[in-house]
Amino acid sequence: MSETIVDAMRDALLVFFSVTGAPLLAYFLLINTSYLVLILLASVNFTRHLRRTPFAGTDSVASSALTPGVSVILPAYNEEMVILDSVRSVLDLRHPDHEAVVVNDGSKDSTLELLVAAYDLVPDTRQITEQIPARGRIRGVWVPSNPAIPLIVVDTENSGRSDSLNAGVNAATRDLIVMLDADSLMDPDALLVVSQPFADDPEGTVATGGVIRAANGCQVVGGRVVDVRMPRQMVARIQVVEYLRSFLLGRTGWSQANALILISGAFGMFRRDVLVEVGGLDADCIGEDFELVMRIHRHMKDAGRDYRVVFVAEPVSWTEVPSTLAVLGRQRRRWHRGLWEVLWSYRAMTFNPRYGRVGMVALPYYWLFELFAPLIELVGLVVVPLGLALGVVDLRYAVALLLVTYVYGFFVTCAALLVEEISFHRYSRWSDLLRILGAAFAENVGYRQLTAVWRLQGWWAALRNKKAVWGTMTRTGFGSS
Amino acid sequence: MTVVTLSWTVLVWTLVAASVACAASLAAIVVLRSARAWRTRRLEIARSRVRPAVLGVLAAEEDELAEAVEQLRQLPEEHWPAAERYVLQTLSEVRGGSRDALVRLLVDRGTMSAAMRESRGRSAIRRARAAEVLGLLARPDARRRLIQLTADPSRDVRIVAVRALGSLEDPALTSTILATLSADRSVPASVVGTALLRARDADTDALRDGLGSTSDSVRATSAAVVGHLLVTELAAPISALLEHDPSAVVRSAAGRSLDRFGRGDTTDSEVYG
Repeated sequence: MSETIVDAMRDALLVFFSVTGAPLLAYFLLINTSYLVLILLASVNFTRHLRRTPFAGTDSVASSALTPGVSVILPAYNEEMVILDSVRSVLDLRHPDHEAVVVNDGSKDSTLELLVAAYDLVPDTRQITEQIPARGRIRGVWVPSNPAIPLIVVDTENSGRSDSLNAGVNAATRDLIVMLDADSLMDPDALLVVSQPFADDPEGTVATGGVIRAANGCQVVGGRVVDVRMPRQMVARIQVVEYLRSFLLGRTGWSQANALILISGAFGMFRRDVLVEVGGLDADCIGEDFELVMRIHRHMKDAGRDYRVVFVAEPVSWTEVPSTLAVLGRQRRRWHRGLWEVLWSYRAMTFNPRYGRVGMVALPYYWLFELFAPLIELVGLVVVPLGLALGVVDLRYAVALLLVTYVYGFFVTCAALLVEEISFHRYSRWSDLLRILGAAFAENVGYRQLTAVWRLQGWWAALRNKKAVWGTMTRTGFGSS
Repeated sequence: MTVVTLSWTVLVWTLVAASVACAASLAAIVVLRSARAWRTRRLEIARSRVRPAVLGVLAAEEDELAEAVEQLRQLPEEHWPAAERYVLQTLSEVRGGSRDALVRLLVDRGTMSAAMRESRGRSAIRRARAAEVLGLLARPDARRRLIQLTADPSRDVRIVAVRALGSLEDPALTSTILATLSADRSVPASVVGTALLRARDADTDALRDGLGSTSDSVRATSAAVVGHLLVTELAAPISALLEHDPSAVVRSAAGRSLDRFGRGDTTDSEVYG
């Protein structure tokens, strides 16, 4: 009886390998080669960016009365560890006309009290017009007693990050809106440079995305990252590699191809009028940043308007990435769930020529290489050992194929590191380079498989309509001096 | 049943190729990093040699200036490139007699003539850098060349040239600078407006013409500049734009200008859309 089962399984595996062998090989080649293409596109973008930097006129923009004003919105829920550093970091940014709008999302800790004390906040009687629907009832608006400090604190009942951002947009008074996480620290020129595409093409540019890098391990002084270092924990180190490959190079590549569909919620800049037109963030969507950019794409394309969504590779917003597996797991479940929800919601745009490269290239890519990647990886992790056990797969061949997969993947990371070295070279110590390489190697041993499991769990939770939760990101603070 | 697999030969060669590519990338990273560290050290050494002379000019009192400039001028030829870079980097932050003296020195040592030459080069990047230097020097004798560069085939060069023209702070350039907003030159309105504001004074006739232009962006930019320079004699045409202009961008700019005049006859929705 058991022999019959084994034979049946062996036959099933043979059928499986015969059907999926060629497509899986093609998939593996395509996914890594697509990364290489994105890295190549990004390097074209970086070259142009770096060659223009000496005459970009940043000083002129910094002192011009005509530079578009920017409201930086910081939603804060229990952010007492980092809120003062973050607000100070925003207020100290070089820009002729910017303000910080903190939305205290019903924090249970002393986030609001710290702000009141630090900036001598007093109640403000202004009426905030609800241009974008926001659910959280406003309990009060606070401003510094010194009117020269461009800060507004909106205290609302707890209603979640997206809704807080919508409340922040309603309270904002400038034409451009930056959405930041409360634990983000921006480079001094970040606003000037990320708003540059709006100044260059005020009618066409609707959104820009900035780069996120890991602040863990970096030395922070006065709300500024002054010494870039690799994090101490391997989990965070691997994320440095991921952020470099996917966020910096991947998104720059998509931007260069004029098909950028994802701007990170941790650092995105939007035209206020466009945000109002599309109705702000969807407070019920767990992938609200992705959803917003997709909605803008659909809105603009449907209206037949000429527009651009641009990614700016430098300067940088530094953020604390999860340093424990538990927090990382929650984040990855949420991200993948958001990915699925948005791709499913906008499925009508996929392979729809009306939506140009977004519909014909970017969305199919996200379905195939982002959404399905963990499923395919885990199927491989199950069937290959099974095949080995049943003698269907040759051990030497399996090991060789695995080596090819990992070495090719490692080469993609090396190519990303090389582009980073040529362009921004933020990690200047030799020891940091060794740590990055160690993380790039370790990424393939356990980490990738674990994230694949979490991503599938997130997808599964969405399919089962399980209630979406943001979870808690435990902050350790920046250790600012 | 056939299972599609890569042959051993293909597999091994793929592995070898990927490994070689990894090793080559890593070697390139090491070489680049070492070269950059060496170059940085070399530049820092060169800079440290000229630093006292440059700082001497920047910190000099009026009666010490001539001597400090002379010391900088006496730097040996091999040290001059580092001094030139240093001076150009600091020039935008220096005012008054020190700035004039440094500009004279740069002109005497050939920085300006080199920039004029480079501005005719084939590379757009070099032309843009040259225009940047001409803007930093802000010499009236570069005016003609900068006006020519506002019609350069490269948009980057045109933008830098307009900024450089702004640094001449000459209201008589208003029409020339506004003309770069035309569709064929497409210099951003913020760059044009900022260049015009640097003059601190207005060519009222040119701005009036701008307010009556057929181009939306020229009308909007003129309106913004009128407001920031507080050219109150143009309040009437600005009011007319606010009332009747078909473009929302122009109406918004006109509203903001009137707001700056302090007339208080605009509402928030007229100003902010």
